[in-house]
Amino acid sequence: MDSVLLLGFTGLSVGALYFLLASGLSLVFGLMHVLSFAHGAYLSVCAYAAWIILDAWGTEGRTGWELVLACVIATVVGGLVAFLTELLLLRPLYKRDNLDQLLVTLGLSFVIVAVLRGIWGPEEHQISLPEWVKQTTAMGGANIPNDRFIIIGAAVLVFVLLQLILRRTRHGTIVRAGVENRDMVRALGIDVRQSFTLVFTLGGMAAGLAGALGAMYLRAVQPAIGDQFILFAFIVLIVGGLGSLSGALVAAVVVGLVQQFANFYIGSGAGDVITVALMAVMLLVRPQGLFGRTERVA
Amino acid sequence: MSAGTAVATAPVLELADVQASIGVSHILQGVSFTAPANAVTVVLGRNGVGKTTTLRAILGLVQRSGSIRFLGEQIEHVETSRIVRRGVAYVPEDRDVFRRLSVLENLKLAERKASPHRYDLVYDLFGELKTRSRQAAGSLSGGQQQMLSLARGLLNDNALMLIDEPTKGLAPKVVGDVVKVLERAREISTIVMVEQNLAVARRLADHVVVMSEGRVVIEGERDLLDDDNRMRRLLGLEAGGKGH
Repeated sequence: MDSVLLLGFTGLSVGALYFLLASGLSLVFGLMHVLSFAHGAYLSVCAYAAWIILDAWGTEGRTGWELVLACVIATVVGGLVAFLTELLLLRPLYKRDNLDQLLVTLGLSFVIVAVLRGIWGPEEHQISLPEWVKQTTAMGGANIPNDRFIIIGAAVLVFVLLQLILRRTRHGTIVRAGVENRDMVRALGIDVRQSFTLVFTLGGMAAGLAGALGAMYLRAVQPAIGDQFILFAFIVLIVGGLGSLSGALVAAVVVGLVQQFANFYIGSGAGDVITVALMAVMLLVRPQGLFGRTERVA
Repeated sequence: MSAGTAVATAPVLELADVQASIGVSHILQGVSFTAPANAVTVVLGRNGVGKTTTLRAILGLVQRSGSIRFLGEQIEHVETSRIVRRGVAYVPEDRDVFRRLSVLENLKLAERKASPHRYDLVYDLFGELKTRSRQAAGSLSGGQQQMLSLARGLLNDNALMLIDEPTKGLAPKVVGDVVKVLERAREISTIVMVEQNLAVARRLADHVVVMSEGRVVIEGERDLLDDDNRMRRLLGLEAGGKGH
């Protein structure tokens, strides 16, 4: 029972990190029809931002607020990098094929990782965390690391905030409508490109938060930290349904849990194989994913 | 204005040699016609001749070339949302309501800043939309979705309404309701409408455009529709049918 609980919380927290990355990717693809590879690199940049802040803080006088500050700054940095990407690299390409936009995000992800490697080297840097984050909480006979609660709580908070933005604001309504039928949004006189900026920036912010929390979870940063998450975020995206935030949440939980339990009970690496197989089965049986809609042809 | 009256004012819309392609298919091969002001121009033709593409080309929803003038200004290089904000409403084929949004959200999304919002008119014409304002648009019947689509078009002050097959797939009773709405709409806006239902076309048309193979083959006033056999031949309908 104690291992089940521990695996459950670990699976949920890993799933929460996948969700943070996939939520942005899902909205970006749903509205802009762009599969962004850059969001994994945003995660890396923001993991470094969090590491720099926590490292600069030192080990004295830790209260926990420095972790909150690191998360906030990582979120802002993620949003800023994504905003600049959309403004400078993607916007000039909107009249061209979506493949061009995908290639730009892929190229950018290589550049970002290379820059991180060039500045801080290829090696891992241990991250210094407040003591209480590294401690555990006893629950049902299991000792659950406290960082699991932080990650899960942050993902729930982001899900609620995104839902509020999508359901309570005009920009959010435009995004939801654009995911359904972008041409019809334009045909109502709405410049949907403004929403592209919003969605890409929000996605970058979520990836930025995932960077700080991912660094906390792994206790270290290295240039390709985003690569560890982006593949599974894409799996979550496909299983949940492109463009569906709720789908991303459910799929992230499923993928996170399946991965952890399979790795523990079947063998190391089995979880990765099974989640990839899950994606393949989903593509064959229900290509639109759990919550996605069938693509309009005309 | 009533159907059949002479049309004598300046055109709201003028198309000259408009070409459009979708993928590798060259759909419009030089479409030219004018839509007179304060009139209903009905565009007819067999399936696949480019009627819907013509409306989408006017709005810039497909790549197009040629000359398109709206209220005397060239719009063939103008982005879709800017064209619409100049005073064009689009009621697409198959309604295209946002299914996951509520009825009210669909209407709110159609609001344009520079225009007065005619909720009184919309709720007067479609009272059901008010009572169902919180309902998901995707759960409405086909007729109700058509009403919502028309309501979005009527909400703002528009110089031109582009309406694509508004009676397609609707029950006869609902077709009658839609026609009543269109008769009201013609009082406040110029209309260019694609319509395959000859009876509806005869009731509403002031001006007629018939298309074939990506071009306009006939353009004239409403009395063109009186030659039943010719129209049926042009539209690919069986002679002696129900007038649909």
